[in-house]
Amino acid sequence: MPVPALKAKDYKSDIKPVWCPGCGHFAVLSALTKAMAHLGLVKEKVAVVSGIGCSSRLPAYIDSYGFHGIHGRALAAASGLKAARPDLTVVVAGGDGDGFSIGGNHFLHACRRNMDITYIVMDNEVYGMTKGQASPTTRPTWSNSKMTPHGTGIPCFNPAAIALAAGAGFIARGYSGEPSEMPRLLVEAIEYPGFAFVQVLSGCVTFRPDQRSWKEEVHPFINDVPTEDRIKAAQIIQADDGMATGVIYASQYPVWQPDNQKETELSLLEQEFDL
Amino acid sequence: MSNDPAVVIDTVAEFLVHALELEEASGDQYDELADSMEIHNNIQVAELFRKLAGYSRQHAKEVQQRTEGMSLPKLTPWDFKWKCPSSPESSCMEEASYLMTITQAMEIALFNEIRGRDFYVQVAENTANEEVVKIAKEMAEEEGWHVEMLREWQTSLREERPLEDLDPPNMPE
Amino acid sequence: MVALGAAAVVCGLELGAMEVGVRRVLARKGEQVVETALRALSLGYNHDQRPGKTLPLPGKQDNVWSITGNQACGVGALRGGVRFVAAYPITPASEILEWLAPRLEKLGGSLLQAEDELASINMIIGASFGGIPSLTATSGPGLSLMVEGLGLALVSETPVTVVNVMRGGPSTGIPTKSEQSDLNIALYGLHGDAPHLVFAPLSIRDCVFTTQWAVQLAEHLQTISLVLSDQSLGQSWAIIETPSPSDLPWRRTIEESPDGDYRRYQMTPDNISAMTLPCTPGGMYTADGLEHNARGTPSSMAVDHREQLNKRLRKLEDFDYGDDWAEIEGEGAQCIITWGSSAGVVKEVARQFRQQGSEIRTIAIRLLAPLQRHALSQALEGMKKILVVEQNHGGQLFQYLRAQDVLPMTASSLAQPGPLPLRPGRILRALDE
Repeated sequence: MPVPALKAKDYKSDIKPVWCPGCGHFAVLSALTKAMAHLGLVKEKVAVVSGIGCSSRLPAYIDSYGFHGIHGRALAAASGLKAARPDLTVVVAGGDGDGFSIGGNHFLHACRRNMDITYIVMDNEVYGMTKGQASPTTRPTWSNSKMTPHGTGIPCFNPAAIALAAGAGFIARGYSGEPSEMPRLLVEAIEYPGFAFVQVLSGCVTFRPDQRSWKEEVHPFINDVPTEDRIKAAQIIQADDGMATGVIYASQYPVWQPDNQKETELSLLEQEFDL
Repeated sequence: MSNDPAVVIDTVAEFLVHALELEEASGDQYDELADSMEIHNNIQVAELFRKLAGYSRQHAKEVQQRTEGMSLPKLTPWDFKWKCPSSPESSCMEEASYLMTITQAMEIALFNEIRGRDFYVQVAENTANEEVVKIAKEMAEEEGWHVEMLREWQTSLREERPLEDLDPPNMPE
Repeated sequence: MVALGAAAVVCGLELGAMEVGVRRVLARKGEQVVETALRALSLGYNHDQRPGKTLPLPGKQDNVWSITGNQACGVGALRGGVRFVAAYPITPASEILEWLAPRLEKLGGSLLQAEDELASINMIIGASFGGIPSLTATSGPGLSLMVEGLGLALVSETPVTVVNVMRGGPSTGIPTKSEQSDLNIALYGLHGDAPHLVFAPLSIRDCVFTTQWAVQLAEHLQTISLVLSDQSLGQSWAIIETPSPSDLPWRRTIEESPDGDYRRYQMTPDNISAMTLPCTPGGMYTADGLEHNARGTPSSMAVDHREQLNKRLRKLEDFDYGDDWAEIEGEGAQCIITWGSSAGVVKEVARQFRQQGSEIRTIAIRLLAPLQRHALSQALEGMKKILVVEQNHGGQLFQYLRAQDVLPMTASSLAQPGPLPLRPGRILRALDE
């Protein structure tokens, strides 16, 4: 294996994260830089795209091209970028609210469009930047939000199940408290040719201090993973408590990318209007 | 003595790669904590973490010196033989909080330093390589000295008023 | 079918040719239907009140195109260099997209059908960030959904163009009929202080030039261009004089070899800062919808906010748009101001005026924002009567010009909403009022 010229640290920018001390996202940032170093990615050929939220601040902390867009639209911006610039490695980072609530539609369609993009969702089951409201992945009984004082009362979103149903070919779950394993997941996701979805359980120390117990709750999958079998993947995901980590599903689907070889000139096309 | 290949480190080079990663990761993480404490205006705790980052960097430099002239194996992040999910000196960061007092910060530091010391002890106990035993013991001793220093430091700390957030997270119960 | 026969006479078409056409279209319905239709056609054709004069047939002519306004917008986009389009189908804009999709491919570009308009605007922003001139086309409801994205493009200084083919509004409104009622959202829809470019093509032929101009100015000024076409331009077919190839000089300023201290939002004399594209070493930055400093780092400092607000305003205000901001014709002490597609009927009014030996000035505004206040005021000098004509209910242009302080108090408004087209008689009456 060739020795990469750059160390993980070289992929960090000089901008200091605004995250709270102890935030799980630090470990995700670190894991991403380790994955980039392991793959020997050329910094300027990487674009990290995000929406809005604590985790969506990530692009500025990576020393590559970055696009910090608007709430929920990261996958759309990334899809446009990848369609126009297939030469780039495109990584999308965001949170559970950004990806599964306001950006839910783009999540579905990014899964089925299957462009060669890696999508990392740092899931802490809460809107942290707006000071602690329930997100789509929040348990229905969590009542610490002033906005839903009795809990949301509605079942939570199952990201892996929805990704599978929508057609994603690579589905994985990681935990920010496993900083040695996280880079491996991300390396596999980035190398996967197609849309790779990685849900990272990344606790919010400020609004969800209860998530400190994740350390004891996270466990490996009891089934053999990853599977290439869609039906098996569906069973594993449905039987899972949401706390198992690893690559769940990895299968090959046709990757969508516009096929556009220039073959004519505009002046020739315009002749169609001649009377 | 363990025969588990997942924890046995049998060459000096492999051991030093682990030691280097341990010290560098801990230095990075202390710096990260110091930075975010500064951003949250918890200056006293930031200073503590900055100081600890300095110690780790100093250690890393010493390990680096030991590796000079050696050809080191290239390990991926998931190849390291920690007994825990991450490098031992950087593993309970989720205990940190922007409101933490210096006493609480000291507990995190102590926990990490003890974990670091225990790692070196465990390496020395499980390896068959005499040279690795020697270096690991030296480093365990050094970490042990660190732990003692932190404990002493802890007793001399002035108990300061806890920080206050005028608009704290909602915690009904 | 009787009317078709009569119309054929007016157009100078031969009865035999019409019969062939009728047979072809109706053959599937059976001989009885065809026979009835042919009898009716003949009745209309041979009616004894035949007009004395028939319209000339176009025949094979040089230097003319047969084209719709929507296709013309597509041509303008391609001429302007657009090579990526993402869009969601909507009436009456879909033909722009359907025309562009296969042609973009042949030119090495692509069109991506998005899941919604929120996606399409953000997709073109992403593509433009990658360096490819990008555009989307939509109509009122879609534009409403895109507004947040437009703000992002504006603040991150990522050029994009939106062609908005207006229809009756608000809400779903009257999707298949024309109205000029999206001027307000185009001018004022964005939150925050968000100066940008707003254009309106003045005819089907002008859709080519105006769209090209809009795309290239968005690229050059690193901002957003909104082009307000409408259903009456977009879905009408016309024979037009071939638009002359127009090689406009405006391009995006690209930094290809940045030095060590590259600043994406650097202040410059013309307030346009060179942009690096992904893959350029040493030019890495994170584009952001958050307010930022010259380097692009998020900032909530007053000094950065003011500096960047000024930059985004001044680059538009200080630019020299030349004479293309409007078409100004005629002299006299009366003036009609209009915009976009209403220019057609206003020009017809002026023609009738001149036929009667009277003078009138018409000003058809093509560049609505930034409003060329000085040039417009000059064009209005000495006018005793000013009428602002537009096809909407609220007098949106009239209100805008009032707010911009370019109209004397005596100016009046003729604002007639769709779906009925504005007619010359109505405008002539308004001038007399």
